[in-house]
Amino acid sequence: MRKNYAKFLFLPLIMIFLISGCWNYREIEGLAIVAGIAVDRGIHHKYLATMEIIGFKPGQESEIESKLVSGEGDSILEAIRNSYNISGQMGYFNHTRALIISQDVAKMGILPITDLLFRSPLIRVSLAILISKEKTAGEVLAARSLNQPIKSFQICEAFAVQQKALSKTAEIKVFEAVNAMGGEGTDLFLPTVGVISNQGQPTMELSGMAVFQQDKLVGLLDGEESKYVLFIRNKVQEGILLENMDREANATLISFKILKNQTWIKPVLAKGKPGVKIAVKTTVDIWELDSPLNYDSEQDRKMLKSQAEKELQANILRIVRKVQQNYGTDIFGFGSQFRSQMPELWKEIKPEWRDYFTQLKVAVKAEVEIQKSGMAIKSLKVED
Amino acid sequence: MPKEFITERQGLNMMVLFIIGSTLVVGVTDAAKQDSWLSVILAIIMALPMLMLYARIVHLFPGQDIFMVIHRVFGRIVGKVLSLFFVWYAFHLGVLVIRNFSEFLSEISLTETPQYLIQLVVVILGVWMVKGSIEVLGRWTSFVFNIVLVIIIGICLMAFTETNFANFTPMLYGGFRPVIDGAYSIFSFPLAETIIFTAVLSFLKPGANSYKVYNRGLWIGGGILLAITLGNIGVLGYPFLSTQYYPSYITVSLIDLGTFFRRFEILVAVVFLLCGLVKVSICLFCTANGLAKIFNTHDYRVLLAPVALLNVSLALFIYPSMQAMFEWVNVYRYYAIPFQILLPLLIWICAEAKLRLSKTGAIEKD
Repeated sequence: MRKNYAKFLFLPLIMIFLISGCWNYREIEGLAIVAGIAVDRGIHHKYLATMEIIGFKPGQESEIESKLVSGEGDSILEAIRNSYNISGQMGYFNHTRALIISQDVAKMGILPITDLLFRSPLIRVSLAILISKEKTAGEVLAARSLNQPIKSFQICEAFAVQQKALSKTAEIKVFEAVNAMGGEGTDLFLPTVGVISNQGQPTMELSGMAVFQQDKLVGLLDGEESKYVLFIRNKVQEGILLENMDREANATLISFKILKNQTWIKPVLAKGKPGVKIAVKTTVDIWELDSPLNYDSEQDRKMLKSQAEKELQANILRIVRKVQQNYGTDIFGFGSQFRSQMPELWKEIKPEWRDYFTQLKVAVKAEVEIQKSGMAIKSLKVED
Repeated sequence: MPKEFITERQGLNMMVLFIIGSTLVVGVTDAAKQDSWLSVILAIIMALPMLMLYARIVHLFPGQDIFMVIHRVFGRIVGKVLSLFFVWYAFHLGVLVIRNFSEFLSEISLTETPQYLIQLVVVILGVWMVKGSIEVLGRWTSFVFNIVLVIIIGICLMAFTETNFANFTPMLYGGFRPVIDGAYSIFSFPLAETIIFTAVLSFLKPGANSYKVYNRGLWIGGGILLAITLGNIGVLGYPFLSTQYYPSYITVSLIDLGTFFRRFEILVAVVFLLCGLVKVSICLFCTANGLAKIFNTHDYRVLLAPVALLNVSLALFIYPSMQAMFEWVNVYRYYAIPFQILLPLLIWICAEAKLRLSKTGAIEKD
């Protein structure tokens, strides 16, 4: 019997902990679910953080709407927290998908921002980081989005489309950014997002990339240039390849659809100087031809193939030159290739890698395999 | 008091969960960076003879746990002092695991809950289970083992889809030293921690083979560690991986199957809770059992609750911060040498000598 009494006395003790309340009690009404964050230079303080919050329109059919709230602060966390003053809600960052940084902030360095992102247990490291092509990053979140009411989610959908159809930019997640910034022999590039006019209304658009030296922005590449960077990084999955064929002075534009692509980077040591050999193997289909020329004889096809290869090689080389001369940052990850394939050499050249990179001899060999020409046997012809 | 038994399989399951216990979330040391997986393999090979030695101690005196063995081999006074060492190790290990447990939980979800509450819940469960007898623990472990195994295999397969093989290159970039360095860390945490099992495996059913339990436990537990390490390196890569306290949790949070199946990371937490509970319970059992032997109490059960409460109170202030907890890992590898290597060696040599000298053959007598 005495034992039972002891048990009964013990029960209220447990109840004190278990029933009296919760320490981590969160009501969904009290939470502002943050879908995306835009970071700008503030007017009074260092940073201005604009957050896109998923709002619920009350009504019979509850609708989702996007609300923006912003705050200023000397650190990003302070800026975010100051915005709670306005919204009266705590931010909840577990569903945050995109972070947009303005160019001004990126020029100062994105390290503080990345640090906040990977330190916080709530923010997921699969968050995508982007750079705004516009003057401010908040502008992008303020622009219209077409399909998704939540603009940050629209950005993520656009990334998926990029991968499937365009390959003009690629998603960089927080952990990939950290690896690119902190890894040996690679520099960071981030996708850029801008605002264009669609049916007369400002709408967000994704293309191109921003080039970084360490954690500071040094330049922007447009979508076409970015595609060739992605070619080198072996990140092209599907996309379009435009080729200008100067065939007997009859300028022709051919659109190839890239089916698949594989790139190999081989670091070499030629005459004591490090160099890089890039081999690209691309399989394409002909999807659009803007002249009545036919490529049906074997000779013609061969010529087309070699032309396409030449053009691809030239384009890749052009972007390598541009980055080497203008920015001097190794966004192609050539250094990391040296590191993994020639570790001994890499240990020697590592301290002066930036100098080596700008002088690096790069040879490109592209192989384009033209598989099909769609459903058409012949091109269209216009007769009198 | 009727004699309690656990089967060979239960012993094996306990050992596997014990090994992957806290290492699953904390991750193995990253001394060797992208070669950490080599460290794991090396550590398994390094641990094999040591674990065989532990098994030998269990085997020499069937039905007698490490404390009885120490008493028999070294006599009463010395035996009690040495037992105290072991009790301290088991107690301290329990404290560390409990603290790991509460730090992890308070980091990922219960940010505002005081840690002592989390710790209290864990040890109350542990006490309850061990109080039921080691058999209850064995049966519960066998039940949980399957769940844990399914989750881990699932996670590893899914992580494979996100793996970037370039993360593993270049191999042996920093040379062999960091690999061996890392291997020793993995040896001391968690592989050689199975010294605690010398107090558990004496409850094996007569005729069960302690070598088999240790051997298989090491390979399965070590294999799981290897798979997790490979997954972490492959998905996250360096240097990001070295910035994270809980790499497996982050790795799994990156897994997306389509757009619908995501956010599996809670599974890591679940597995850790289950394994952590096993580890805490075994440490509790070992401590209480050892103390009972030292104080000549027949029933270790009465000591469980006080030991558990002491565990919690020490766990509260053993580290001032989380950084200190992870710094301790570097000290622990040296701190654990006497308990994991020197003491077992001493016991083994003396036990063998004693058995040979007495000539009567204690094995047959027992």
